[in-house]
Parts: sequence; structure tokens; C-alpha cells
Amino acid sequence: MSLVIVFDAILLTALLIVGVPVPLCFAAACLFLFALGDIGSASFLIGAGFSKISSIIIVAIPLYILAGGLMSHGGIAGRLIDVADAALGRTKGGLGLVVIFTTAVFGAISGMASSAVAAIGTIMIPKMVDRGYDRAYAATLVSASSVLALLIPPSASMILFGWVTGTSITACFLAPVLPGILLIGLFGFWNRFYAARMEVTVAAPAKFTAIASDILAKTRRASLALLMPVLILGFIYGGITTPTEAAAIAVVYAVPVSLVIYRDLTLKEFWEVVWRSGQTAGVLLILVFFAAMLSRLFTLENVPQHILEGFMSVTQHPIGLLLMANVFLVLIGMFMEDVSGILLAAPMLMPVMQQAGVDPVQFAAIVAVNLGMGLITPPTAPILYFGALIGKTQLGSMLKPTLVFILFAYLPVVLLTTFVPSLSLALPRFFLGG
Amino acid sequence: ETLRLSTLDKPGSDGANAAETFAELVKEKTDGRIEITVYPASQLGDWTEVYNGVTFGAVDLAMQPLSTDSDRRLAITWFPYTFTDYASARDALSADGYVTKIVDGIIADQGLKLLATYGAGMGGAVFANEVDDPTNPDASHNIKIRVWPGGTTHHALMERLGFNVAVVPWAELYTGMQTGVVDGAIGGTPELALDNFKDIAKTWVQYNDHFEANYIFMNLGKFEGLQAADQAALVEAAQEIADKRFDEVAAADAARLQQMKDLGINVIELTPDQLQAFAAITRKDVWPSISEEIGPDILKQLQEATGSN
Amino acid sequence: MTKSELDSAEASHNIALELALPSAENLAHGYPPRKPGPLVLIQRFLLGICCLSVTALIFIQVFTRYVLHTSIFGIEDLASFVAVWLYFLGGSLGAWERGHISASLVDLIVTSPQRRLWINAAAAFITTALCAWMTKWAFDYFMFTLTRHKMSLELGLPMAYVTVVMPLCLALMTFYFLVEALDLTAMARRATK
Ligand code: NA
Ligand code: NA
Repeated sequence: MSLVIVFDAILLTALLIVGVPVPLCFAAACLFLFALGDIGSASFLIGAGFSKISSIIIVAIPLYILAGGLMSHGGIAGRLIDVADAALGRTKGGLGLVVIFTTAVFGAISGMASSAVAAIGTIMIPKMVDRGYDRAYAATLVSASSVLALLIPPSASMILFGWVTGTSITACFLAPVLPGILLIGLFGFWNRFYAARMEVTVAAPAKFTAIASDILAKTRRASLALLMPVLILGFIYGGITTPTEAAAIAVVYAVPVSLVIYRDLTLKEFWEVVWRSGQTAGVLLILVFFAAMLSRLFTLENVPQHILEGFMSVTQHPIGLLLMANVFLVLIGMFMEDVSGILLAAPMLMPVMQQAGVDPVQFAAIVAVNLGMGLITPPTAPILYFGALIGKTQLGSMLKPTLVFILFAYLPVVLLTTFVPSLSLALPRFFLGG
Repeated sequence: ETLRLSTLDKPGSDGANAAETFAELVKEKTDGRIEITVYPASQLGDWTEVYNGVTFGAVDLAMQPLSTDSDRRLAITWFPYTFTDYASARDALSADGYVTKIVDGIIADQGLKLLATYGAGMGGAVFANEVDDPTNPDASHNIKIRVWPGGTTHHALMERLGFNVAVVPWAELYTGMQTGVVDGAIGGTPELALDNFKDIAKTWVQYNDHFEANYIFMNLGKFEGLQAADQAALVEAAQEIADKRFDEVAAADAARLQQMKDLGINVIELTPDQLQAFAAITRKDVWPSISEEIGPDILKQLQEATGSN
Repeated sequence: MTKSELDSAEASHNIALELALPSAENLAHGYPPRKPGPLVLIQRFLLGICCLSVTALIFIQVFTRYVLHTSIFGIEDLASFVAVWLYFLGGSLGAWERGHISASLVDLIVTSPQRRLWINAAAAFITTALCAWMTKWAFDYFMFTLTRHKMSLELGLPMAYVTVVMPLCLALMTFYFLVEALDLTAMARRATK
């Protein structure tokens, strides 16, 4: 690979490390390549960024953020937790299971892992500590489970993956679902293991009929919230709307539910959710804008081709190529959050995946589990930091349980997703045929 | 000197192969003074982006449709039923054809040099479902059909032909047809349909609604900066692949239609009489509503050329 | 503060956390909260309007397709252009709130708080310079769409109305980054004394 590209990568990394915001690190990498290249016109680059973000497909991002924000603020998280608590709260390690299941269901409403940490962590971490769970463990569990929001549709990360690689978002949404369910199982196992080692109090057993009617009552209270993912997915996979249109319907649904029926939001809060959703989407899309510019320059410099050639010079075997792609993704995940990672890595690894004969939809799942894991993998582990903040604990004390979740839950799922194509392709095939 | 050429066509397609041949011819004719790197499969951006990219000079050459974002009159390049057969398409698009002259005049003002026109194929529509009564221009279909973003002309055309029109982005089209958000799409050639929708296509209607042409054009400043011999070589090479394609395009389309039939896709070809009926109805009912796209002057030339005023 | 004011402040804090990105640690404990000035309030107002209009436009499209069996031509055009305004307004507000995504390792590598602040300040100056440069690039692109009379493909809307938001909001971002850089320099000075 040319020396210029290597210097560009070094510049990008150095600026990231000193804390220049990621979009401007991308801008710097663009400037450097532009200055040394022969494109002659920066407007072509701005045009590339503009064209990427002015797509109707990507409008789904602000809409899902807004719909999720409206639903999650106030009582929805609490209502979901009540349902899970009624069903699972009385078992050994039950509160941990409540966290895992609630984040999974919450993930079907919200597209971002950070929302899940904030909405569920604020309620569940104190509750778990009350019942004798270790505070650091509780914060770790919430952080590790929150990544499910990224794996279960709708997901801002999968929208971005679909858009940068030209893959259908309808298909990408389904790809990481089974890996996510596998993760739920492994989290459940490790939660039981940890709960057995703590002085956890469990609520007294109750009659089955009492429990059943309690679950029913709580479910009824949460039904409008639970209906939202059903609506979103029903509209998309029932062939009624595109993912973007389903997102708009979700917003239109969430407004009366949160404002009139649940009355969780005052008008003032409603307005704040609206503009803040826009701000969050804006921060993401500015990143997309600059990443698209950099990606265009990389294409002009044949960087994806060089990466493929580099990989091929080590091995030509599909399994070897996939392993190297995974190592690459793990490294990216260590140093970047999911969005920057997807924008940078997905277009670069696409030729490698083609060479290895990997379906782009499976690649979506591989990227999702890898970069999802990256959110809790130090040194750059934003969701872990956020979990520590919400759980009022120290990051250092969370590292040990985090390592267990990474090595014995995420990593096996990463490998399975990589080497068992049907894990990610079964659901898209079932719902879309082909 | 190394020039960049962008094409939307995927590696291995007729279009991308022609682009590679063009690159070889140029190298040969210029004794290696000019080398061309082909970027296939929209790597350098979608067609509107690349179109601007060539005006900026960031991309040197492109082989693709022309964007109407600076001058709507370029909609002449896909105006419905301007020609219904290969011979008239070839006449209009050859070096001294009337469409070529119109296009050349318009894009020269935008700093672009037209080298030649590559005929991709005759247009039609692909459907994931059965289509009732497809040869009847007055039928009413309860079918949602996708028109490409910016396809104002075909929006009007397909509505007149009794379809519900929807705009779906290209990236969502395949799954949109799988799930049923839309039932079909207008705007491609048999090759495009085979490449992209082979697994889900049930019906192909060869409407001959437009002739899909990829214009080979270059940044004018870059072109004029070349020595005369190299300029001539570029034009010659482009003409050569364009001519060769026009010799082959009808057979290429027919081969693709046969491939579709072999796959069990219901291929509907209109008889010459039926084509004339579609063309007549379009010229009478649709052209008036979309004539402002191309403006009165071009409309007049079009009517003269097609004998439909 | 009264009880209801406290409730309101807490609700606002919760919304901020729930809608924060992974970089929320900046937002949550990096800086003391600041009072928004009129410029920020106007931006927030426009941003909120953009969010609601995008929703409405796309919802109308689905509605007309299924209820009226037709589609309004060009509504996607309009929705995605309002969305571009949304992104740039939102992105510049993100700069005001210092909530842009970053992957800084300074906190892990550098132990001295003073040195950390100096590095932060330097990074903020680099950011400002880069953002200013991008503003210039975006302005050139805007001028291209203006002088070449670029139109949207469906509605024929002048693209300059859309592209103008890029240099405008990037300029605002540059300004907010500059304020941050100056703030950080002052903090670093105080800490070093
Ligand atoms: Na989700
Ligand atoms: Na990480």
C-alpha cells in the first residue's frame, strides 16, 4: 500500500487519540489525501458527502431516534421492567434476567445502545443493588445487554451499514437478530453464575395463578409500548412500507401514546425530545457526511483493493480471510464506537467479503456483533463508560465481569456469526424468501 | 497520463467490458500516452454525483446516463417512445444523429465533451408478480410500480398506462419487490433485470418505452488540454465501441430475453402494431404533460423526427 | 427552585441522557451545563420544526399511497432536503453542547489533570481549524450549486436552498469549537497557575 495512505491512517489515529471529534478526524484525513492527490476539486468530495446524507433511506435514522425517544422517555422502560419482573423476578438471579430481557425488548423500540443504558440502567441498577447484587456487576450487565439495542431492529447502525454498502436495510435489520438471541442465552447463563456467588435476596414464591394474573395485568399496562415494535416490523415485513416509512409511522404512533394516553411527557418535554432527537441524528449524520468523503477518496486511491490484496497475500482461503476481517473489526471496535467503525470498515472490507463468498447480509451481522462488542471493549468503550456513569461506579471495577462477557459471550457469538452463515441468513431468508 | 472513467455497470457486464475495451483502444491509439482506469459499479458515486464529478474534473470520463440537474432538457435522453425500434435509436444516437446534436449542444455549455453514445438496450419493466392484460395500454392495473428518483417522464407514462407509481430508492428496490412494497420497476434493460432481479422476477414486459443509452463523455477542459492526436484517438475509440455495440445490441437483448424465458420468467413482447399503439397513445396523452421537461424547441425536433406533430 | 422546576430540570437531564450518543460521557460530566443563548434557541426551534416536517412528509406519502392510491411526486425530494437541514442544524447544536463523538484516549494515557487540559485545548484548536477549512469547501460547493443553477431531480427546486445549510452550519460549528478551545485554554491556564 502506498506510503501516503499509511501516513493518512497515522494522522487519523493520532487525531482520534488526542480527542479531536471523529468527524473532523475524517475531515483531516480527507484534507491530507486531497492535498497530496490529483482530484483537483474538493467540491466532488463535498458532493459525495451531500449525496450520501440527502438520501431518503437515511431519513429513517432521525425518525427511529425520535420514535424511540418519545416512547422510552418516562414510563415505558418502567412498564417493560414491570412485565419482566412479574415473570422472572422471583427466580434465582431473576433481576439480572429482567435486565437482559427488558433491554432486548427495549431494543425493539429504540435503535441506540446508549438509550437502553440510560432508560433501563437508571431504574434497574439501584434495584439490583438493593437486592444484594454487586454494583459494578449490575452496571456491567446493563452495559453488555444494552448492545442488544443495536442487534434487534430497528437499529441505527444497521441502517448505516445498509446505506454505506448498498445493502437492503429490510434484510440487514433481520441479520443480527439470531446472534442477539444467542447472546441473550449466554448472558442468562453468566448471570446465573454471578448471582449464585452474591448474597442476592429473592422475593418469596407465589401461587402460579397469582403470578400469571400479575403478568397479564402488567403486560396490559405495557401493551401500547409492546405494540410499537410489532407495528414497525409488521409494516416492513408485511410489505406495506419501506423501513423509512415505517419509522414515520412509528413516530406518528408514539406521539399520542406518550403525550395523551400514557401522559408520560409534558408538552415541554415533548418538544425537548423532538429537537434533541434531531441533535443526536445530526451528530451521527455529520459523521456520515465526512466518512462518505473519506470513503470516496479511499476508493479513488484503491484502498479497499489494497486491503484485499494484503489479506490475499497472507492466505486465499475463505476461512483465513474471514478470520483476518474479524481481527480487523475487533481492532476497529476497540478504538471506535459502532457508527464510525461501520462507516470506515464496511466499505473497506466489502471486497474481502466478496472474495470469501460472504453474503452482504451476513456481513451486516458480522459487523454488528463485532462493533457491538467494541462498544464495551476498552480502551474506547463508550457504553461501558456510560454504564459506569449511570451506575455510579468505577470503570475499573467493571473490567473483570466485562472481560467474562466479552470472552465467553460475545466472542463465541462473533465466531459463530462469522462461520455459520445460516445464523444470520435464516431469518432474512424466512421473511424475504430467496 | 492516467484518466479515471466511471461506469455504473458491474464488472463482467456488457457495459463494463465495453469500458475496458475502450480503455485498451485508447492506450493503443495513443501509443500508451493515455491510460484509463475503469471504476465500475458506481464506485465513484451515483450517476448524478459522477456527472458533477466530471464537470469538476475530479472524474475525467464517464459512461452513464446524463443528469438533468443542471438542464432538464436532457430528459430527452429517456423521453418515452422517442423510438420504438433499434434502427431509429441508432440513427438518432449516432455521431450525426439529432439526439446526439441536441445533447452535445447542451452538455458543452456545462463543460463536458460528448465522445459517443453506447446503446445499453431497449427498455422495459420487471415485475415480481403476474401482470393482467399487459399489452393493453388502456388497462387499469392494481399494481405499484417503481420509477427511479427523477424519472418525471416515466411517472406520467406509467400512470397513463394504468399503474400506481411509487418512488423507492434503488437500494431498497429488491427487498421492496420481495415484500411487496412495490410490485415492479420501470427503467431498465433486460440485462439489468437479469442481473438484479433474476430470483424474484415473474414477468418482464418489453415495452420499448425508451432506449437506454450510456453517454461517453469527458471533462471539456481536460479534453482540450490534450494534444490533437490524443483527442482524435479518444473520439475514435469511443465511436468504435459505440458502433460495435449498435451492431450487437438487438441480439444481446434477444439473448437476455431468451435467458429469462429459460428461467421461467414470463416474457411479454409487444407486436409491432401493439408498439405503435403504445407509442401513439404516449405521444398523444403523455407528451403534452411532460413536454416542459424538454422545452418547445426539442419537442418540435422530436415531433418532426417521429412524424407525430 | 420550586418543586416543579426541579422536576423539569431532572426530566430535561434524563432526556439528554436518553438521547445521547455513546460519547455521552462528555455531555454528562465533561463540562458544567451552560445556558443557551438566543442563537442556540433559534437553532433548536428550527431543528424541531425540521424533525416534525420530515415525519409529516413521509407519513403523508404512505397515507396517500394507501388511502388515495396515488403518490405525490417529489415528496421524497422535499423530505430528504428538510432532513439535510435537520442534520446540519443538529450537528452544529451538537458542537455547542460538546456532544460530538470522540474516541479520545487522553484520559487513559495522561495522568496530570493540567496536562490533560492543555491537550484538550490543543485538540479543540485543531478541530476549529479543520472545521473552518471544511466550511470553505462546503461554501465552494454551495456556490457551485448556485452558479450552475442545480435543480432537484423531481421538484426542480434550486439546490442552493439545500446546500446553503452546509457552510452556514459548519461556520456555526467552527464558532462553537472556537469558544470551546478558548474556554479550555482558560481552564488550562487556571489549572497551571
Ligand atoms: Na434496536
Ligand atoms: Na471499543
